[in-house]
Amino acid sequence: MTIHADIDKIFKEGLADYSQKPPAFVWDNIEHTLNKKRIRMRRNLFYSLAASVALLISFGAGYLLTAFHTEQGVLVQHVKDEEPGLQNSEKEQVPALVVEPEQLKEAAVPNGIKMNEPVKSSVLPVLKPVKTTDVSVEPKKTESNIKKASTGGTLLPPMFSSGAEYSAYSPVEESKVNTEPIAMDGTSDLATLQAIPAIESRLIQPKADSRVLKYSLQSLAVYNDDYLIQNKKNENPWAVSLNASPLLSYRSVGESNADYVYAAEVTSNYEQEYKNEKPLMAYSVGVDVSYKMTGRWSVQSGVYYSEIGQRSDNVTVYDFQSFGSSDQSSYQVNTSVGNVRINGNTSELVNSSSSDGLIINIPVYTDGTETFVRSSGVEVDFVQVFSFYEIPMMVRYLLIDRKLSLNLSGGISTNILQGNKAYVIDDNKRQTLDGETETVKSMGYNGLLGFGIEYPLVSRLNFNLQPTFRYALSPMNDAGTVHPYSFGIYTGIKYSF
Amino acid sequence: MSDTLKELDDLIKECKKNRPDAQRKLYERFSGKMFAVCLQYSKDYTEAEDILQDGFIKVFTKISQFDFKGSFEGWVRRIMVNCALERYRKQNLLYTVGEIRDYDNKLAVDDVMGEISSKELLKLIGDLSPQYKMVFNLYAIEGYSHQEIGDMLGISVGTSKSNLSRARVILQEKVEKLYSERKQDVKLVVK
Repeated sequence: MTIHADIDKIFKEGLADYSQKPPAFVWDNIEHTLNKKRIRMRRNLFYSLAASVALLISFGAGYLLTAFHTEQGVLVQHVKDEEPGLQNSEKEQVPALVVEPEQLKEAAVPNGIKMNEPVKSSVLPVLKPVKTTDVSVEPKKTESNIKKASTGGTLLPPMFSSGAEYSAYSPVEESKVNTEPIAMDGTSDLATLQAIPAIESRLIQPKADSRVLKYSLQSLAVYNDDYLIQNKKNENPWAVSLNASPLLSYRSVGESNADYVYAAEVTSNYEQEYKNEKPLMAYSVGVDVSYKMTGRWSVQSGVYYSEIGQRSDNVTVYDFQSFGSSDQSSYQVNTSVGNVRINGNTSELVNSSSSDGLIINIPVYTDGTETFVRSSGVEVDFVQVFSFYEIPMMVRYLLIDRKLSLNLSGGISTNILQGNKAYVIDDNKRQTLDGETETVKSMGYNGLLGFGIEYPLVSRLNFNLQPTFRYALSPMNDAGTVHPYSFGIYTGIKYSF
Repeated sequence: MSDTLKELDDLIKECKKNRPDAQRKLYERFSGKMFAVCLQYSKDYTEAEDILQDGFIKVFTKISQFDFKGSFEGWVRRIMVNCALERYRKQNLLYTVGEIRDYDNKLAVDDVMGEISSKELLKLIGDLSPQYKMVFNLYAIEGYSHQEIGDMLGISVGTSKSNLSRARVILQEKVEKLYSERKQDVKLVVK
């Protein structure tokens, strides 16, 4: 008997439900790998959280310091009310620190203390402390009082209106504050209330310590701060800087995409894990303009030209035509970023990199209908370079505002692909290949994080040093698996207008 | 939805939450069938183990992408085949091809299957050269077209066709021989 068989059907149906138990250690290996992935995920999460907390603490501490500084005027009032060392009776003996001229005009001044006529609003009254408990010139805890205490140029610190008056008070001991007469007599009334233009007092250094003076010190601090703030208001907030940096660039690779990497792996010895690939040293240069919004916060933007890339050592490439393609003049190499298709043939590589290249002779095969002509290959060191125009948008926070200032900055940048090149290394020199990495996106976004140091060189000109880390927020290739990152130490100069 | 399918859906949902117990159950449920697939595509037993391991790691890390629209088993199988393809691309660059023999690929009788076990069929496929094995499996078992196979393996459509033809001839010869050994009085014809 003779029968005819459909071989495809025999195998398809014959194997459809076939099952074979794998060895137990396979699951052990899978479990081990999955556990490692879980641990890595948790660790990354922890690092991200830790970094976020550190940033929050830095910014928070800076903000609180700033807030404390600018609100000292208000604190003068609060400290007076809340001073635990003072009893009620003592509180009553503490003179008002801030008094409006109108109040002075109308105040019933006890125990013979006399005052001059109120002065003009542009000058300031100074009220001296007295010994009696009857002093009733209490400060009004009104908005206007508080406001005046914190606005510069209009209020002179009480009791420190001039060196002479301060001298009169400086020897007073704490124990005598409440018992010894310290007010001037009637003949000295003029000295008890004086008005001196604020500009004359400048920054006065107290030279005695007493409980009464404590409040005045705080008042003085307010004045000093106001003076400095007023000066800073005159600064131009704009600055321009020129920076350059070497960039060490590399990439993170996700899971390889089977549909994406197929072709060139056949034409090269590239490993799936891309172990041949190494970081590449490139560079970045650019100019940016910054605007100071407040004392510590500023924003900046600009234009940078940056190159990133990667190097692959000892890659064996074969002519693409080897696999029956009608394309007789190209070859390709698969990299983590994408396939690099190069016009020409590998013989050019052999000629160009004779010292590094290694010719691999492979016989010609024919299957009857087509010819496999992967006749030669060459081992090369291979470089991919991508250049971008970068437009960063960053926020900068001044951590330490000294001569040597420190700041933190963060933001994002938009990258526009400008160049996409491939090279081979020939005697330590790059030889440009006529080809490019396919499926690289023409636009992407980077996250930026930097820590900067500034030091003044001459007037308005500062030296900048800013280590910066950037990570591609959007994948670089169509397969969505590659995120380049780079680290650079930007140095440059900054000119403040 | 049947209880079995509901149970599978629940298991997948648990795996999506990265639960180790569920992952183990899912592995136990599909590992046997998938190991057979891996054996079909690999050159030896050890390589099949590696493919199975890589494949299941990929299944568990990518399971969040499974949207319950198709067959889960088919999804897992595709991952295994892709893993096998990746390994093939890395290891097999070129294979010697012998002469092509004419054949008729539309002969149809199923009697043969009763005489030859699945394990034996698997061994026959395993004896093929890697590229023939790939092309035959992808075309005859998985149902891909020559264009798709050409894209997957980086070969032309013509090469895919000729590889398939050659693989069929080799398999038919072996099946015929095996069958003849079992059934002395019956002759299997391969033109």
